[in-house]
Amino acid sequence: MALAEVAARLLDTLAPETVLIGGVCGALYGVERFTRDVDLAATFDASDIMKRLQDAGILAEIRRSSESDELSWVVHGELDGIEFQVLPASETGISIDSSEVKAGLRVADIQSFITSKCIAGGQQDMHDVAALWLMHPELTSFCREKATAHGCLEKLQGWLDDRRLQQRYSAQSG
Amino acid sequence: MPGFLPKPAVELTLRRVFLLPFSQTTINMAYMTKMTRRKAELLAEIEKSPALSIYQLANQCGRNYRRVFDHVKQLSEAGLVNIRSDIRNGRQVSMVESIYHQRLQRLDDMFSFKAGIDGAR
Repeated sequence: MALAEVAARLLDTLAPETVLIGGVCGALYGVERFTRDVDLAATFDASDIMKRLQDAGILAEIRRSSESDELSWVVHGELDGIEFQVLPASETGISIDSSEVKAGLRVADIQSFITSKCIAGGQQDMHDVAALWLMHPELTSFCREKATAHGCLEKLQGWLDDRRLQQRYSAQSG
Repeated sequence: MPGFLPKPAVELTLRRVFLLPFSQTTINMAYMTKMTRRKAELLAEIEKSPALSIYQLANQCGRNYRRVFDHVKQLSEAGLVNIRSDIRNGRQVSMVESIYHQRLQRLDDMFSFKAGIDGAR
């Protein structure tokens, strides 16, 4: 288990203030999509993250930005040939307090995960939100509210109208 | 969560685990297990843990091995967990996996497949 093992090792190194987000988290919630990296969200500072990673012998670097539409920092690194990023939880809509544990991995709760995807707002992110919306009809109003708040409802609607996505994920189909 | 698992819940689980369309998830419910509180607790423990042997699972829950074995078998028959044979220290053990382990495994399979293609290029 390449990605899962790297995710587990990073979570151990950065415990307990870190949770999985991104493709691995999405996969645990049932979203079927290829991913080649591991994304995490942390509540503590980038320099503390760097120190913990260095102590564990993991190579990484901080990339800071002062642009208003970018995250203030991202820690990029590589472990066992797999790239990873640690992002600031406060800027990505992730609440660490309500995290869940699935298959031994600490993941963002589904609402935080959807919020982070709506903040990111890319096509891949909207695919993930649409899949979760279709799998969890009870989250419809939550997804719509978050997508509206972050200006990505139109993009999300495009994915919700996708027939293949509906066939794969919709609890109502068949 | 006492009572019987409703059929739609089992169909949804099967569909999510095996990615089957609904037309292929019609199953005989005659063997459907009764979901007692103990089994629901065991399922929750399996879902949040890494893959464990039944022996490790019984230890972790502080419960009798035989009872845990029986409950895991019933959960497996209901399609809620998967039992996989593995060799540990030269001995065959039964590893218990939840839907989440299977999802992670599929993700890693996709990753390995793509890495293989990229390597061949």
